[in-house]
Amino acid sequence: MRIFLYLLPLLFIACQASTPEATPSAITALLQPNSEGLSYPVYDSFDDVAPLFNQNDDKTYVINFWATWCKPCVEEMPYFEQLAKEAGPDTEVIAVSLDFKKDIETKLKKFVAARPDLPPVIALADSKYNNWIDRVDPEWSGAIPVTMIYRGDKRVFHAEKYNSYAELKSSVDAIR
Amino acid sequence: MRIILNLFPLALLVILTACGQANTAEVASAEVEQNTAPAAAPKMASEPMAGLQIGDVAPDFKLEGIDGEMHSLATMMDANGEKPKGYAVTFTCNTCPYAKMYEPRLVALHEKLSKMGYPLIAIQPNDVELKPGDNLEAMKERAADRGFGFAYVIDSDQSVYPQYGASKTPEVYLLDADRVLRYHGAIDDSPQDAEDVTEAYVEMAVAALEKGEDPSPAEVKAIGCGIKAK
Repeated sequence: MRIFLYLLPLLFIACQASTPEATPSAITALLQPNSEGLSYPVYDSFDDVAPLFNQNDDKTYVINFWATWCKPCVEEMPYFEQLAKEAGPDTEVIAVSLDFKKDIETKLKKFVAARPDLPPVIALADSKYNNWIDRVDPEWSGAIPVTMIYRGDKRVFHAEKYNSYAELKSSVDAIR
Repeated sequence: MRIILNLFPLALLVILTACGQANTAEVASAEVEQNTAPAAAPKMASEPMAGLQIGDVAPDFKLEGIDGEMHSLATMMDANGEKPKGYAVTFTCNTCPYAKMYEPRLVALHEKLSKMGYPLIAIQPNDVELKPGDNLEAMKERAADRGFGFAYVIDSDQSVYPQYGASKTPEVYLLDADRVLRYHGAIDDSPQDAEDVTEAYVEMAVAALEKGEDPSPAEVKAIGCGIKAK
């Protein structure tokens, strides 16, 4: 009996996964600009962007955390640009900027304007990092870049910089 | 983990009987992926080595400071010229924006804690070829500029930070008088804005030690830049 009690939550999760609760529009809505003069949305709370990490449809989500001040992040950005360009419609590439609040309307704006091939950008200004980084992945040490790639229940958390497009592509292909 | 694996065949059975036939195969394979967790492999590779755990004795070191002297925990004194009751060993650097944002707070922290018997020592762990802005000359300038009252030393052969298990700047290891690690991680809960701090973890930890208690929390993830190594 005890065993079955343990399994109950599992059962619930498993069945839920099979129902088409996917709401692609939730992601589309999240990506809409919401601030005067900025081409990307700005969110003050992780709660606002939490749906990015629990979509359950037939899409692969590639979510990269970066910032303009982070050199390795900027170095790997071309791979995400290439992925966004070459991947099919079942792959969503999103670049979540953790630029500092003071830089969101200045440095980040300039960077985005100069890079037309960037994947869709979201500026996340929730600086109480310790309250939310574990919700992305408990393995997140607290530095960037990191990349979360998931498709349904399959997840890859890459806790460092990608050194080539091939390396990024193989992470994406690994969970197809 | 073992429990989940043991239960897994059972879980499958339950799912098979409970969910619609059409979906089960797909769901089951997804569960296998998750539970056997092959995805953990790349994670392991990028994790820093284990390093110090709470309760471990931290190694001493002998590192060159911006004053040209060699610095060790064994020879440190607090603001009263006494042998310290503890040490706030802080890995930090000149170039990381988080480290820069914490500079005024580090200066204030040392002033306060050193009087209480817990001086701060800052160790610059980055490779200076990768980060020339973190070399000893630049450290001297930065310290003068920012009025560092604490010792600022360089881990020039990058041998000390791996022993501690540090992976970021800034990252604090609070040791007691016997060099036992009592708190590890973030300085406080608001890297970007000192005004917005609600939990000053290092100060809280020292207050706990002063009361003869174990710091709680004893570990909070440090937010910052990865330490740069070749």
